[in-house]
Amino acid sequence: MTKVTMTVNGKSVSAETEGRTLLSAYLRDGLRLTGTHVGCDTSQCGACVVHVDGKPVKSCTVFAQDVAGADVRTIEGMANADGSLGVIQQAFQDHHGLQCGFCTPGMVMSAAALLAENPKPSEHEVRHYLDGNICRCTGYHNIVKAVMAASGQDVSALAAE
Amino acid sequence: MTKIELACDLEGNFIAFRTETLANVGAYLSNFSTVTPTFLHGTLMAGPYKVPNVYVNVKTVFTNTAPVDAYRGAGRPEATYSLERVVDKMCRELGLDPFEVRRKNFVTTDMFPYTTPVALAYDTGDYHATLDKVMEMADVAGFEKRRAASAAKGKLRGMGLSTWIEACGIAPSHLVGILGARVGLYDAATVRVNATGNLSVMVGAHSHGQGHETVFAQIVADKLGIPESSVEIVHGDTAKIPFGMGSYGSRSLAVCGSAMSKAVDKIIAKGKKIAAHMLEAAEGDITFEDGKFSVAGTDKAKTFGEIAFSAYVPHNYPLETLEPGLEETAFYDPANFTYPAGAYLCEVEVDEGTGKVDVVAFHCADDFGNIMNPMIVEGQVHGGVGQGIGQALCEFTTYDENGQLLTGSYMDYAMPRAEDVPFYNVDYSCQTPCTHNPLGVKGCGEAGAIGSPPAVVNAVIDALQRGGHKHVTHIDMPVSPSRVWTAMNA
Amino acid sequence: MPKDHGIGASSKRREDIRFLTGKGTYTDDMNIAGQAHAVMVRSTVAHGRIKRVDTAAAAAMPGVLAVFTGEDFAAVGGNPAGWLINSRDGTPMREPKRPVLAHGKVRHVGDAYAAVVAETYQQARDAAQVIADDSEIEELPAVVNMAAAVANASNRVHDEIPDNVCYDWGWIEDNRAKVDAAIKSAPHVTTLELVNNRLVPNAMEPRASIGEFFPGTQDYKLTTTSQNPHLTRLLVAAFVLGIPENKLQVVAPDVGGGFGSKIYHYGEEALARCAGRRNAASPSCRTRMAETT
Repeated sequence: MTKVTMTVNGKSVSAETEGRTLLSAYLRDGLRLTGTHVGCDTSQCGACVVHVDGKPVKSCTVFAQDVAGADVRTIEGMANADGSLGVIQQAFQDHHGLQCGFCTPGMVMSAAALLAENPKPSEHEVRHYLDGNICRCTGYHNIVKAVMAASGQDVSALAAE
Repeated sequence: MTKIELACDLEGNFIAFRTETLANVGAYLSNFSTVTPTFLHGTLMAGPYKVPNVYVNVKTVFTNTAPVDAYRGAGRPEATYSLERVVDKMCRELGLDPFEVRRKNFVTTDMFPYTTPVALAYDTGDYHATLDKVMEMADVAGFEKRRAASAAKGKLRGMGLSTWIEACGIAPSHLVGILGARVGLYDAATVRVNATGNLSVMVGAHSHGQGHETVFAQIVADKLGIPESSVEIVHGDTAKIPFGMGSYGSRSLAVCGSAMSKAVDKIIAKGKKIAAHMLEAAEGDITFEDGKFSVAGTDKAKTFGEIAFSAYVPHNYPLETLEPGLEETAFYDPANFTYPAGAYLCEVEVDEGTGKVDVVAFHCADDFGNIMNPMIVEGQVHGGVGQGIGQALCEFTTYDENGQLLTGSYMDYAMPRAEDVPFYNVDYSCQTPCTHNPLGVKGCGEAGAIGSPPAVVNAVIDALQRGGHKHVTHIDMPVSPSRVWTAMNA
Repeated sequence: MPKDHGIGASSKRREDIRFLTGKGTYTDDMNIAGQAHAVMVRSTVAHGRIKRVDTAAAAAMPGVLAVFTGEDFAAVGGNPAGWLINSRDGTPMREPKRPVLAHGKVRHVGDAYAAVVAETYQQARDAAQVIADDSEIEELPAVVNMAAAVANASNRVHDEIPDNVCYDWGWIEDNRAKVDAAIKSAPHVTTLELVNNRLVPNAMEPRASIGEFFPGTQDYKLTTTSQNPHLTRLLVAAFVLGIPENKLQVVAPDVGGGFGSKIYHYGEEALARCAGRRNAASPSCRTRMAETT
């Protein structure tokens, strides 16, 4: 076992790991930050997306020991300082961008990464960027709408074509 | 594997449907695996049509594959797919307009309640209304222009229609007992008014994405004239909840919501007794409106909160005739299924070079009866259509000849991603409320998954036909690029 | 004006707040003190006769608390089918037992025939692999194609069901002659043969269960990813394990989608309940599994 230390949501943390401990397990089992979900274990579903040094990463395919010392941000670190929902989180609630909530943490983290790179994405750019995140409940309609709304765009008239 | 035959006259008036199906249950039986290909499928085989003759035969087979069970719609998507595909094929064979053929075969509004040849009794509906609505939403008249625009990009464009109906809100226990169910399918709710006037409502339905915690609270708050925030919905724990059969078959609101509504009615009835005592009036003179119990024709009134407090602190209370406390339970067993229905219209573009299908427009006009929360209803339809498009275009469980599962992870089993689907155009303004449950609701959870697959496949066939591939009359789902390309080039 | 509250209003969802902030509580998010972990040993062949399941080496591995095989559940009920369907001739469907763990034969890839409970998930996985290595399953020809399954009576999924048919159902049988006649005399008949493709619901949350046993009161608690906790309680208590319903609490906490896949009472749930009891020192047992169906 090796003690791995990193910064998670602004705080320095550490937990014991085996060589095979994944970042997702480090967060969930080691730190009890269970907002990061594991839906597939094969890097397909995206429910486990977190930010590592500002970049979106599927935490089920990264060894915890490989990101020792990194600055990690999870869904638990996305609310405003006063505890209220951040802009993207609020847009997801306003536009019914979630149902069962299981894919939601990964969706929010991916959306945050997109908007950091591209503050006013088109519908196509949003859909393309979220291709690594599967949602089974929403048919993606309201997720795409929420992400565009979070970027400050008017979504009242969005429809196909 | 299904063989379906549609008999009709040369004007397209339906005479008979007959199907023969081999269904795979896998290695063992599951909860719904025996009923899905039978009663959840065969009873829907008349669709929304006034066809006089229907016969369904299903042989179910054990294989060395994983056991199957219910999936969103369970049996009803299969019935809808078979029917709507064969209707489409018939229209092409006889050169008839698919909109007109449906119109002339629909059960009409003057025929309800309508008993089908496969034993269901549809209580209400207006299938012409949803068809008219979807044609308006989709601008059917403008299709030719859109087709030309697609052609200019080198794409074949097609339009596909599906007019669907389902039986949900499962289920009347006396019926499902006859049909072989080993349990009853009622539901239950307890409404507990706490002494300070807020409520804990224990419901047998379970929410795993549907939003019961919000919608059920809206209903209780509305009926009692109190803020939604004073109502807490408790679900998912056998130690807290009287009983319940859970959530599936679009039943939560129609069955459990009805139980909850009846329990609230009991609360109001008891509240009237308490109010009559406190206001020194006859019980028959007490009215309840906007959260207030009043003596009719006077300004004497007690708020809901005052009545609740009195029930738990019964200093001035008719203890000799009424128990203290304010908590009521209701069990509700529906008299019939509910019958949501609708019309879906899909437009696709097909890349002739690769066979890739893009769904470019999807319009849904549904009749769900009364609507409790429009935002959530739309979300349910979006999700169902998303899964239906997945079934039509990419999802497929495959075993090799040795029984090895070839699609055993998300790497191999293709599900739609955000880029594979469009924005959906959803309407629920055609409303014929259910006649036999207190909320007049019909259920919306499975609709999208039931109505959408044939609309997509019909659109693909339409695109290929219009594009000159006249020999292509059917492609099995999933209508993947390789299957489309192979069919075009056969 | 659209309504802003009550029936017909698009009230925002209150449950969203916990899901958007990572504070939802799904079954696998729970961590009960002393919680152990179960891993199933699953068949890698579609059809096979179980010749030997040797659990001795696995049982002696670090952290292993208990091992189970099909033998342990031979005396209890199978997981029942929810509906009894009768064939056209009035005979009831063929209903083979679906055991908690496979016994005698494995019948599909992924059919669980043994299970390991250990202090950590990784220890349980390691031991499960050892049981797999120490087992002998004689592979039989697989029944995969439905038409062949019906035609080839010598190859049986269940030895007692000769033609592999569960039932042959007609609806409505009394309509049949009339329908046949109508089709025969109709001016036009369109025929279509099609396949309804086999799908996997794939709710984003995989299935998981935690079984707990409270020795003081002899009560059981099962926390599980279910769409219908009461139905699961009824099935586990009355049909499968034969324990009083009032001694079993079933909790379905936040559940990440179902779409039908979480109606069924799975063998793993019964197993988690039993493992909780067997394993009195660590009175809870968690199983987590991805769908293989």
